[in-house]
Amino acid sequence: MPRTPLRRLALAGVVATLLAIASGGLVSATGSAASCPTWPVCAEALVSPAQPLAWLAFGHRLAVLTAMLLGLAGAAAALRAEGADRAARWLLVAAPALGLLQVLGGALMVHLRLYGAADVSHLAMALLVLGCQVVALTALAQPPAAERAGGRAARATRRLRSLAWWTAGAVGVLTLALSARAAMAPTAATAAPLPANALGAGVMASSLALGTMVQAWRSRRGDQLLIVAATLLAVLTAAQAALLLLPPAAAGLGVGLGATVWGGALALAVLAARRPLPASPALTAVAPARPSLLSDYLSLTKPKVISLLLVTTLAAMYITEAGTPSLWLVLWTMVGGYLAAGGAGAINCAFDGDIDLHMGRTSRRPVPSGRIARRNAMVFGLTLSALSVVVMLVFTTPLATLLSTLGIVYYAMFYTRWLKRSTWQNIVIGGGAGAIPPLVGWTAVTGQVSLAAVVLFAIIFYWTPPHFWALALVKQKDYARAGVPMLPVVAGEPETRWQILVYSAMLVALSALLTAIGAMGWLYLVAALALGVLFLRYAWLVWRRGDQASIWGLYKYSLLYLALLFAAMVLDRAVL
Amino acid sequence: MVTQVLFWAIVAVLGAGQLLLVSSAWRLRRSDTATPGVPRSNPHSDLAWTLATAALTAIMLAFAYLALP
Repeated sequence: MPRTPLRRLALAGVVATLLAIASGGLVSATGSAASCPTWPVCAEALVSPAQPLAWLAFGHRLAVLTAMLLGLAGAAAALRAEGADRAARWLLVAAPALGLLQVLGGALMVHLRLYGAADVSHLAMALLVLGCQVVALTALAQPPAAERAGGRAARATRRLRSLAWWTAGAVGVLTLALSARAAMAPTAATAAPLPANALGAGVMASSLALGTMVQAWRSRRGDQLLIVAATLLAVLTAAQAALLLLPPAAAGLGVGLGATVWGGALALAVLAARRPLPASPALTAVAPARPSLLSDYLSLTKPKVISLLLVTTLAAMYITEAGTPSLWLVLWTMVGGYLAAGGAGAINCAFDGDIDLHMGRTSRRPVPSGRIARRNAMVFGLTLSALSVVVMLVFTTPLATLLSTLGIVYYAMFYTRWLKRSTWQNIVIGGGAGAIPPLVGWTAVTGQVSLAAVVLFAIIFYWTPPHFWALALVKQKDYARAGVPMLPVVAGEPETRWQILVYSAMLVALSALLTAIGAMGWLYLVAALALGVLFLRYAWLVWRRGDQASIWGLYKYSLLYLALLFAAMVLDRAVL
Repeated sequence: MVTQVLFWAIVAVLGAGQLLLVSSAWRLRRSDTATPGVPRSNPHSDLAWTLATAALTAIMLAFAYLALP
């Protein structure tokens, strides 16, 4: 594959970084860093050659040095290679910069005695460096396809690419969790505060990798490379998750495997976006013209929307002062949350059939297209809602049940039947329904509402207007046709873009309140402000330019923002 | 001390933002840019919701002030 010096350097950088991460995992698992107190040169290994632990630590430092040098060489080559892929060049430049940040951040955390944070952030930054190098190498090796896919093929490609990105993210989390588990071996008692439960991450990563494989088989049957890569990714992810069966001390072995799978998932995501579509008719042959009844009923629950709601529920459960919840409580809260949100979504579909019929985005939903009768959708929604009440009441707390039920009524009745059709404040006030899930997660663990939980509610409440108004700006003709008084329809684009900017500024400020009241630490604050600055940049572009690209940019980033903000809360709680 | 500064900075941004939103709602209350065929918002209701949001945010900030470390 490597034909140019840049590609050769990128490949060498990937291999060296992988070796550095794998050896780092072993060092962390064995606690061998303690055998090598002098830094950066491990004089102990040279003085006492019989100490294998010291040699292990020494070997890791050599691997890191090699990776850094190769990274710098790759960056220098990328700066000179003007004809190469632009994104790949910048990623190769970013890799050693991130490596330098890793060293400085690690030194600072050790100086501040934040050993847990140092351990996790060290590996996280190393994975980021590897990610930059892998994406760059793949982009250099696979130029983008000449022709653009359209219609169903484009959707299938987006789905595959998205699944591969999500798999990479989940594998990254799993790798961090495995590393933390390894570091908790008795030889490294300083890492005791790190989270040791990687089961959830393992299940999530395996499920996503399986989904990626299925999607590759469905949509790229003629592309052997993608099929093999996706299958291999699923097998390796399952193997990585199986490392949970090993004793904690041996889990460090999994860090190297985890880094390999992480890189593989990223490479697959890039390949899925760039590989040309197979010439065979497989793509069009596999997708049925009419969705099955099962998938229609599943779509009534709006699973894509629910996934983000469940992320906020899950994160809220892990940041309470009551400590780490049991896996059973988490599982049942997720099940109850899905049933509640799904039931409310189905009732919304039943009520909104007349509106959905007039909107391109929703006209193919089961109710407006006549595949499911409105009455059946309503019965389905009510059944799921009733089930959610039972599940929440039996397995969680009464307050969580009450809030979950309130969320159903809020969304299905208050928002759908009244707000949506009567005021341009519909999604502002209606945003309260989407803000309830973290309250449910919080109260499922603690049994009571605290100020921090209310702030979580407020964060999602203020996040909702910029997010949905971005979509409304793009789809305003649909909303006008359907008779929904969304802000762009009622007050025009300039007013909407202005209010998006105002709400975005308030959202970013509000996200810092958790640190001000002592519910979160400085790690979260830094992450919240960094994510917020980017959010404000997108909102600013929407206000200034108002073109489709900037609006879509804000819409997509807002989804990522919310997920990362809540992930930062969990990380902050876990390491500080 | 740092948390106090952070808190008041947040209050400043949220306060200014709410003022801008209320003034927008007040302005829209008098505007007449309704699209034909689209039900016009009830201006009193729009303004009331905006004020309610501002009031609830203020209440939350008051509790946050009491909870400052």
